[in-house]
Amino acid sequence: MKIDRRAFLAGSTAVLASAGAVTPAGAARTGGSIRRIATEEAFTTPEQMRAMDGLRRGAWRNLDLELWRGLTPDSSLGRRLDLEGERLQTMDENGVSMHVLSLTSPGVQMLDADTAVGVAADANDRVAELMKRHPGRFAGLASFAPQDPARAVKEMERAITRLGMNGFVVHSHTDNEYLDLPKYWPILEAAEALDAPLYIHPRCPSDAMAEPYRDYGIDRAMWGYQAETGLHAMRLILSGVFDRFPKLKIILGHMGESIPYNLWRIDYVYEAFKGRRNRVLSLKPSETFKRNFWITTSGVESVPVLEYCITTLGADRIMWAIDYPYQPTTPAVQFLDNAPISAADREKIYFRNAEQVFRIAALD
Amino acid sequence: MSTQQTPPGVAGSSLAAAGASAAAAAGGMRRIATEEAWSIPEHMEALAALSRSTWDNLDVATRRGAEGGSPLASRLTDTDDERLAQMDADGVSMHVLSLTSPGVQVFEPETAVALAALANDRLAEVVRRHPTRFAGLASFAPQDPARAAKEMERAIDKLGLHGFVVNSHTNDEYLDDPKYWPILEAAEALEAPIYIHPRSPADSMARPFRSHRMQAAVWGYAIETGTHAMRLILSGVFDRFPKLKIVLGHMGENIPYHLWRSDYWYERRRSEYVGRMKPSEVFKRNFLITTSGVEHAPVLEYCLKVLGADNIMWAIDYPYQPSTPAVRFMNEVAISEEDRRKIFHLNAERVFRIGRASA
Repeated sequence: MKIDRRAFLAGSTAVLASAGAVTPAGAARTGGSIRRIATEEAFTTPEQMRAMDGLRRGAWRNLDLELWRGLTPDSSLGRRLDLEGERLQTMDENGVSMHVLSLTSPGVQMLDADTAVGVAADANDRVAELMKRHPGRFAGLASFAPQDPARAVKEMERAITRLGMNGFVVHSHTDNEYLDLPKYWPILEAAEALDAPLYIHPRCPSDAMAEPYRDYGIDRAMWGYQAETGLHAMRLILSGVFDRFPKLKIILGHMGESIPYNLWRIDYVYEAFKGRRNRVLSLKPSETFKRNFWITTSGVESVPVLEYCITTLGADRIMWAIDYPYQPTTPAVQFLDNAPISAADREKIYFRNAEQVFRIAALD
Repeated sequence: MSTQQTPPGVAGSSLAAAGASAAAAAGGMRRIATEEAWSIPEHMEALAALSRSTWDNLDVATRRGAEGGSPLASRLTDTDDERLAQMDADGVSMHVLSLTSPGVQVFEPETAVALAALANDRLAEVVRRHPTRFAGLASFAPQDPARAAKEMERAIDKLGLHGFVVNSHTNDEYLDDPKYWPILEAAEALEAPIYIHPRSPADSMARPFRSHRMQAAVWGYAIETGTHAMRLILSGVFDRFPKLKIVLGHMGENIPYHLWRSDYWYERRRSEYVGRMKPSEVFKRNFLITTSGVEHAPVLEYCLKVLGADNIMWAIDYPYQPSTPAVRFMNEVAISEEDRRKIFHLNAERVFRIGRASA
């Protein structure tokens, strides 16, 4: 396992290689000085791999599938996506207390409904078993199949009440549709009723908006993920679903998928057009965002962005994430260890907000 | 700046209305607004005619049923009356005018070429009539790159205009496509910036933006226009045209917020890219942003930190946004007086080659 990790680092960029070569700043503090809960951590299962493998040979020009065409269980990335594998070792080496796990993008959302329901339930069972086996080291966001909202709701209930999981993950659109459509409201209703947050994780821009994203690798983390996922969140906000489900909790990664940067303009345009072109909402978009959304630091280790988000949203709305195994752990730990913020804010972002939002037991 | 003549409209009771800070008022601050929309009747009529169709293009569909005689339409075609009075009332020295979105880019090539030339002629007349109050960004028809390059030359060399405007995509295509490189080459050679102004998401990405009025300023503009700029950056055109200057409104259409992540993935996949510089390096060298539509101090402070004050210009987005709060925002925001001068006028004077001594 160690060899694999080194080989991965060597094969990556200078940034990664140099980060891997130094002693992690976090390691020195591993002795329990601060709890580090990473909230957007990916895994796969043999069932997901097998199901996606079935799509690989098709001609579907879907951007997510392009990514999966290069992903096999025995590739370096495939091994690191394993639920266990070298995961715990990497966490230990970097002083990471806990991974909040979610089935990697696009989850089950490219599969037919029956297959999707089965792969989701199996993934949830596996995570629940791992959580039991390593108490305090893992939490889990349950998968469900939006393709079948009624069965999705049943699985969401099972995941929280029977399996003791901590929330849900959805990978943006499902068949070019977003959760603001009334047919998906049972899913939002269930999340609110179960008091468990829904993490809207990126996938590539949907087929319905894919064309301009087919060049230059612009479809993924470089740009397309925030275009797709920010769009999803904005549709939810402007559709008014938070008036119907006022206690629904949504989490966005990557410092909020560009929405925090636009809050002033969004509010301005909403106020200028409400009642004429926009539905009248009980709260301004920025108020909804601050009431119903949390953001995580996944993939954005920028101090100015973090400071901006603390200023505009407050430290109570921000959680730490690595985005393992897509991003390296060591710099993610170094970033939040060293960011020039108050100790109180650092604790909120590293673990206090996650404990509260995901109902993870606090340490004594 | 004490030697600079007081711009029209700075004196008088309008200052109190604009909430000008003592510092901004005392120096006779020149205020150059850089993303100010304007039109000519022929353009408005052509857009209205197009909207009487079944084309579901978002920019066209938006106009359906809203044509004719609106206060917005008359504000767009006016320069000498309400616009100048409003500028005087708010202490705005100059509008840098550009033909309102989507410009000529929704028309077939012949119409587009002719309308662009006509609009540029009229724009030059306005600037000649009020040389200290107006500057102009020339339109061109990307539909015909060769003739676009000719019109660009005419607009700068003959008409004395100050740069160019393009309203994001043209027929779902972006300027990174080699067929458009003559346009980029001309802009670089003429040392005149291209302002990439928003339009609604291209037909090829329109569908998810058709609900909740997502296509416009609330969200779609930033995604469409930011995607255009990211395509330019990642395509490597700035290696070919290293002195090309691009201007983005709305605090950079999300790109400044995303630079760390873009850089990270660029480094990680460097072998896949031809461009020599990281996205953030290209952005700081080749791009300027404006404050249009975003009167939010934390965003401005963030951009000052990440991009520096030399890369930011002030804008109102008249007549779509009100002038008074835009002036008040930049008068009062807690930044250094040096930065305030750069953003209010020094950068615009440099980039658009606007005469420093306003007569």
